[in-house]
Amino acid sequence: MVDIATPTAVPVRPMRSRFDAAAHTLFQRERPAWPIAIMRILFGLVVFGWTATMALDVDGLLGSGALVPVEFASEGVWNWFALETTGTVWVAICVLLLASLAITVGWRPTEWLVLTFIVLVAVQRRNPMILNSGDILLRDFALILAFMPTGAALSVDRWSRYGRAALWTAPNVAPWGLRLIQLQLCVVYFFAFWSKSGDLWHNGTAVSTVFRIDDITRFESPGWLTSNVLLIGLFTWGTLAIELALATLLWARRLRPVLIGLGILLHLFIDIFVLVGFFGPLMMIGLLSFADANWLDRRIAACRTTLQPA
Amino acid sequence: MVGPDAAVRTDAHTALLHTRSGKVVVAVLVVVMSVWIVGPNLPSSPVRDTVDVVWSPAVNAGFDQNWSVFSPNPRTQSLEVVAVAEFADGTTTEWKLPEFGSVIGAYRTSRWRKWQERVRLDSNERYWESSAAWIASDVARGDELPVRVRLQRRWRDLEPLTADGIVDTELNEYEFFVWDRSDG
Repeated sequence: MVDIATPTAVPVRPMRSRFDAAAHTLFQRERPAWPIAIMRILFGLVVFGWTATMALDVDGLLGSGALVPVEFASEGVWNWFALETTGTVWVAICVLLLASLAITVGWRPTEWLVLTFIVLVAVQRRNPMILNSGDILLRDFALILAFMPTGAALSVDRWSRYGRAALWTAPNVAPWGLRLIQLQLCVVYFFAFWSKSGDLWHNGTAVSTVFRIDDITRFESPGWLTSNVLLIGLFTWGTLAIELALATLLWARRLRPVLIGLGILLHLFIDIFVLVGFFGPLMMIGLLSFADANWLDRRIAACRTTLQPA
Repeated sequence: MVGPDAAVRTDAHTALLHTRSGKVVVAVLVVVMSVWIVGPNLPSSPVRDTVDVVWSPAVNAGFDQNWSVFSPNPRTQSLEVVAVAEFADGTTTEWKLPEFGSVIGAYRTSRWRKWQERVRLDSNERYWESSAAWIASDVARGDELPVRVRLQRRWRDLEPLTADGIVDTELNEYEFFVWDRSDG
């Protein structure tokens, strides 16, 4: 029986309790570690690619006789340690290669991620003339990933502790570290959108200009594309719309799959035509932080059932 | 939970939340990291100048933030830096940026192109001599270094797209530094 005479019959949770519940959901409610593990593996591979391609240009870009002399290496900026000789640069490169492999296979990844951050900063500050946003994002992700239980699934750590069969399952983990990388991702998109305040973005022609800058071209964009006012307008304003949407609406669960798809398409599109280093791959890895962990868990469980009949 | 996870040891990151002191540590970490992520992105202002001491240690340590890509407008020039090396016998060689292909090599190419984009600027004059000296060693014929290396920037202005299409512009060239072996 409902007591209609007593207004307090309607449950009203105090503000404090609602805040606690929201904070619990956001930072504590455990979920399968699949997305975190997959991000770790892909990040390790990107660090490997970044380091391997850098190793091929040590003499020209980082060595003691490189284009930028040692005395001009990030002048006035504090550094973890200075790379003053070609030999020390090679030591740093070797450490990064080792770290990338350890991160990829999940052998004590937290420690290796912290080391990766420190060594990346030292290497990148050796020659600030060659850096782009992807390089900064690489070291930021290294540090943020260290706040996540990246070795909880799909890792050598898990295999050695629980056996091979454990690689098919993922424990539930707290998502507080994941929130940091999600915040970082939204901040990147928001300020990438916010800073595009010039007239070429406003009048819908910026993408045509970007595609015609020969020295940042990866694959040449066709003339019919760069001169098509309607398509260029669509791409220019579409870029702004997608960046703003990714910055603000990724937190809406229902919109997430569509937005993740749009984000990946945006980065693939940019990467095909423009040289942006490792920025695109890293942003796509970041988008995985919004993947539905429970959905992934169900899919992998179904896959396991298919591959391992009772 | 079944299988191997039935008796798993909770990971250290999650276990932090199982104690009151651990929750405090996590709360502090999340707040500090959030400020370090957002703060450096704030637009320049007197307010920012006052409070940037909060995140400057993180920036100095390498946790940097700069996401102004193609902004406020994309660059409206295509550019190239070339070097003309002169040898003692009067012959010359033109040095151009190395190219490594469009797939994996693109990640190497992008670094050299970034150097090219920055080294051409007058504000980076301090890098010109070392760059020319490196190019001299790159084009050396065995032990023979060039006697002179001339750094040139070439650029083409990119007019905005109009309803009538794209207007072609002419290539410009300017010699911005000369390196003499006797000076080097």
